Amino acid sequence: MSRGSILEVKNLSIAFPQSATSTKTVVDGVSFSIERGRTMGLVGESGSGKSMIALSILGLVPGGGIPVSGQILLNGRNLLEQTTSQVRRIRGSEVSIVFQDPLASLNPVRPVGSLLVRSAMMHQGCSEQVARNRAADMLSAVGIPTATQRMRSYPHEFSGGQRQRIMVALAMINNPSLIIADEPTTSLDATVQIQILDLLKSFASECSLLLITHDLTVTAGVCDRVAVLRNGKIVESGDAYGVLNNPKDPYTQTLVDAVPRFEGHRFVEPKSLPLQDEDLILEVHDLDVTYIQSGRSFNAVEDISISLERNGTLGIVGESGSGKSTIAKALMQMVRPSRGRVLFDGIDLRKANQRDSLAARRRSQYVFQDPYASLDPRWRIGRIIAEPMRIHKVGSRKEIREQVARLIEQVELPDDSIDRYPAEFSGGQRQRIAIARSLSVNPDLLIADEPVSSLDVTIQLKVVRLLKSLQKQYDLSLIIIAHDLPLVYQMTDRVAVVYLGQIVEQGPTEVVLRNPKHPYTASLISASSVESFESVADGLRNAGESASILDPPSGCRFHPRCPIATTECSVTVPMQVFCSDGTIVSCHHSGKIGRK
Amino acid sequence: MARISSNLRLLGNFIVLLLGITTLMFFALRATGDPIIVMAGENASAEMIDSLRQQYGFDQPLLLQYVYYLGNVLKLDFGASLASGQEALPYVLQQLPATFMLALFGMTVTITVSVPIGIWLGARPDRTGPRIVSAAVIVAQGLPGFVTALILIQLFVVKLMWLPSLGYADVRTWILPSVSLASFLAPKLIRVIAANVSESMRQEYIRTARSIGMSERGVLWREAFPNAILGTVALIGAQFAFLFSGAVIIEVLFHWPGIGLLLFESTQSLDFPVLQAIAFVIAVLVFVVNSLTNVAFHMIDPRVGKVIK
Amino acid sequence: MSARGNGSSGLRGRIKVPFDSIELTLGIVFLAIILMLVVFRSQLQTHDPYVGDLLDRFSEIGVNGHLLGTDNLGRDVWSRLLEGIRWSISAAVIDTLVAFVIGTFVGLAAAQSTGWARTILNQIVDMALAFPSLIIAMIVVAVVGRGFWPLTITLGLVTWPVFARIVFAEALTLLERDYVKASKSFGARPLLIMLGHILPGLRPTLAVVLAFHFADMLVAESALSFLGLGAPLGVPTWGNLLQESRDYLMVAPWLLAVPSVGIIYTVVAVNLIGDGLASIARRKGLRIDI
Repeated sequence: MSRGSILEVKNLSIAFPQSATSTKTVVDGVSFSIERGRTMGLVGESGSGKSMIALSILGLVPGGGIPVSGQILLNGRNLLEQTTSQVRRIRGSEVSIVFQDPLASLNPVRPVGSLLVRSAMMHQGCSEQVARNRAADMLSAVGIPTATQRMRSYPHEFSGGQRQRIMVALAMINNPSLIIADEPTTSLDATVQIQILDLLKSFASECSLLLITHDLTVTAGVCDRVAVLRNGKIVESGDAYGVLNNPKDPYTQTLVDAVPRFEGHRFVEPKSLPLQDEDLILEVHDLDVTYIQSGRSFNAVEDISISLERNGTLGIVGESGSGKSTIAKALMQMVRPSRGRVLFDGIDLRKANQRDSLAARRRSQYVFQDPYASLDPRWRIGRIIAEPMRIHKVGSRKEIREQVARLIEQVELPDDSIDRYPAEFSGGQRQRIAIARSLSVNPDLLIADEPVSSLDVTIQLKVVRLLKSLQKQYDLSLIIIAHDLPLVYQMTDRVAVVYLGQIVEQGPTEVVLRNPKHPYTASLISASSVESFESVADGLRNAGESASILDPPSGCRFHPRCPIATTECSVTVPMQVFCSDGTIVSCHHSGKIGRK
Repeated sequence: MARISSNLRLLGNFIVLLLGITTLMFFALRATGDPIIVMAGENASAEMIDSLRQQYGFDQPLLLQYVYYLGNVLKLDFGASLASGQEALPYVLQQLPATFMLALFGMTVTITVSVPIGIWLGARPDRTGPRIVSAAVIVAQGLPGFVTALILIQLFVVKLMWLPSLGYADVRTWILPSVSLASFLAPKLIRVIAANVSESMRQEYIRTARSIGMSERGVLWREAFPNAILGTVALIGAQFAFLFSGAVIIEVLFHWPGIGLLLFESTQSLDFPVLQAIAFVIAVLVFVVNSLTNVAFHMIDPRVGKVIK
Repeated sequence: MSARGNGSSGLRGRIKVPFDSIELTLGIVFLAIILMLVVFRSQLQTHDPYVGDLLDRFSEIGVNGHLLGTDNLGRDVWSRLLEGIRWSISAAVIDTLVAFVIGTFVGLAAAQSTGWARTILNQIVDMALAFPSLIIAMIVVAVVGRGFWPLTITLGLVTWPVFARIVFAEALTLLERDYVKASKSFGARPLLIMLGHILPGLRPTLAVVLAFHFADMLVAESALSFLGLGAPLGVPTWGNLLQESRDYLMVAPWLLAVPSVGIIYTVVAVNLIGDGLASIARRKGLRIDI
């Protein structure tokens, strides 16, 4: 064993029995090691076997998968040769894990403290009272306020970020020598992600960290060393900076290229400032959408005013729960606005008669986030793509068939797709099917709601390119809803930033993302950790999570998390300021954001 | 707020239930044409029929009759039993304790048997032992309760002569009815518990518990069991209708002097006042049992009944 | 719940389905045997099921050429059993279908409706579900009289809420699916969505409920007949055979055993089919709570 290694994995292979005679190898001869106090990133796309490696270290490989060869040495002992009870003693004390989805990973009917107490009692052999104190200390250490009381609360009473903090506390309570974090931030919002990563990093100085992720940006920010996995094999490993900046392996190269960045290629040609008599396909004025939940009504979005030029591209960005999808649904007539006007090519959708409203449904189309949910699993692809045409009675049977075949070709699907079912396609292919369906009725406006966020990075890039080329081909106006700023930067010429149901900043993408005037925009940008803005990034790290839309803060809604907020911000609602560079900002202190 | 509105909802359910049942009874009575003929019997004289007709208001228009009928229901007046002449409602209520005891014994046997077996089956459904038992439970579920009861009578009363079969006397007469009722309920409960346990064991929080080194026993009892039991409590409430249907047949078979036996006898003699009173009493029971399980559910599930912030 | 499972929904997958589940295969084989017995009953009957030989009373199993013995009137139990199965199975098929049609319709209507209409429909279903349906059936049959149609229609009319409840719950989750929302955003009318997306989506669930309901109806029919509130007197259904056996438990235990085995076998067969369908649906990512 090499000096100072906490974990050494040697030639590990894991296989799953597929039938009585054959097995499927998911991890194939993987070797790596982690030194004391260092952080190692295991990077790969879904199906690369990265999670299997993590679970095999804990002896938790599910569903009959077995490590068929190799060694896993933790502090010099081969874990694969330990008895079950020995492994159990090591789990949670010497090595522990933080899983991806903290809501699913915590028992909904047990108080969050129970597992912490149990873990301390089991591994430290202390009394329940001592364990309770230890658990409360640990919870405060990960940033849960009033931890002693909160130990009795149930998982659903915490926010997503807090739940993940609790998982970190659970992993840390017995001072392990190794923590494994399996996609620990994937299910969290960008601004919360940095908080959790910071938390993990702060503990990693005391022990070693194995970070499993698909996200190269995260890897770059946290890891000392990195290994890139593909189909169960390590294709490249080494110093994180070196691998990510000078990838030698072609696969690593594609991964690195696929990371959306602010620098580099932009699909959008910079446009001059909008002319006076612009040609608008969409105008939204003072839009409110009201929802009712458990007897209370609240505005999911409020005072939304945006516009989109014909053939233009608008990005709507914000965290989950910000209301960005609600805006899109109001544009699509999927929810009814309670106030305001939505003008689609001059027609007021709230006052439109049935014929106009149906025509608007044909002329504007929506692409859903999750291509697994948006296609009826019982329909063949041909029928799926033809559905809008059938509803709008566009063309004869023969014309429909020809149109479907043409679309399948345009979105680069195999020719025989037409008679197959969605289950036979991958995520990226399904999203192509969804795009083909939305184009079948020659729409003028396409709204894509997080169109690539459920796909692997290398696939993302292809779908983005496809969308962009189809936009040209079909003369589409495009609205992209996303939490991913680099994607919006690449794709759009205008952007609107939504926070808690309100637009805080909008304007030309180039201007807004390069010189944000609102602290929230700046914090989102630094959360993508490509660029950093002084005074904001550090402030936000301790700023907690978004308030609830049910109970929005007074004054400026962002003020409880804002690092530059003053008393004025908590009292007065900021006015919209129209700047000379074409942006509109709602902030009392716009312009005080400096670049690092 | 949420509590009050859920109580109101429950009360609304109750009113709809009572209204539905009484209305159904009213029209069931008239389904065959003239209920008086049915009530008076084939050989009644014309004067007798006329006097009955007046007594029950059957000479009035149908809608008016319905209103009278509802009024009587509100006064809890169902008339006198045609068979015994007693006031129908007290007559029915007097049979209630026996049925209650049967349900209590039956449920006790059911739960004592089902919980351990269900958990055992759910914890390791892929092993040979549990698989065999699961198959046996499927067969047991196909066994209609009254067939089991008949077989038990054949075996223990007729063949072995260990137990008396009929009546409601000493403890020994309680054994077979309780076991028969349990044989009716237990297979379903076992399967639900087993399914809930194995479902819980597949959840990600089980993996979390394992990842801190908890033993399999601890994982099962501390993490999976509380979840599994929640779904089970909900089922026990919903199974009341099932329990009662089973109880009717078992009471008939064992001459158990409960509501089921009375119901059976009243269907034989078409004793409408009693039938109406029984339907009413059962409707009230349904409401009570549903409310109780609802309360129990609110007490044990931390996720419901609290406002999520 | 998600539809993400890698279910094989291609044509090949569909044909292969029965062999995906041991329970389903076994259940289908068991049920096929019973259906054969029903179809070929006149060839298989050794005696007239209604005519007995009083000199040949209580023959035990296998005696005097009686495969399953004779009853108190000397009638051949095997021939009577075959005669009764047809009656019991067709009664269960019809009341299951009645419940299925009404329940599915009401469930879909409730899922599609809003506000007061939905509340009222749901209240009715809740009420009907909570009340022991067997008791209503007993009272109604007592009033209307025994017989095939009174029994089947009554059982159908008192048990449809089982379907309504499940169809309602399942349709609601299907209505929340993105592909249904997509269809709405294209401008599809509710009826088109119901027929195109919701009903096909309900198929696996309905198949399971149909199977279990059919089994329940077999038991309900025999229980009611046993109480004298089902099949007409004299028709040798399971329930009636059991009823007749009660007086002769001492002398002729096979009179109890034969119909008992018959009903258990049939109900287990149908339950196996239900279980098999449910486990296939589960593997495709659906969760079905019965």
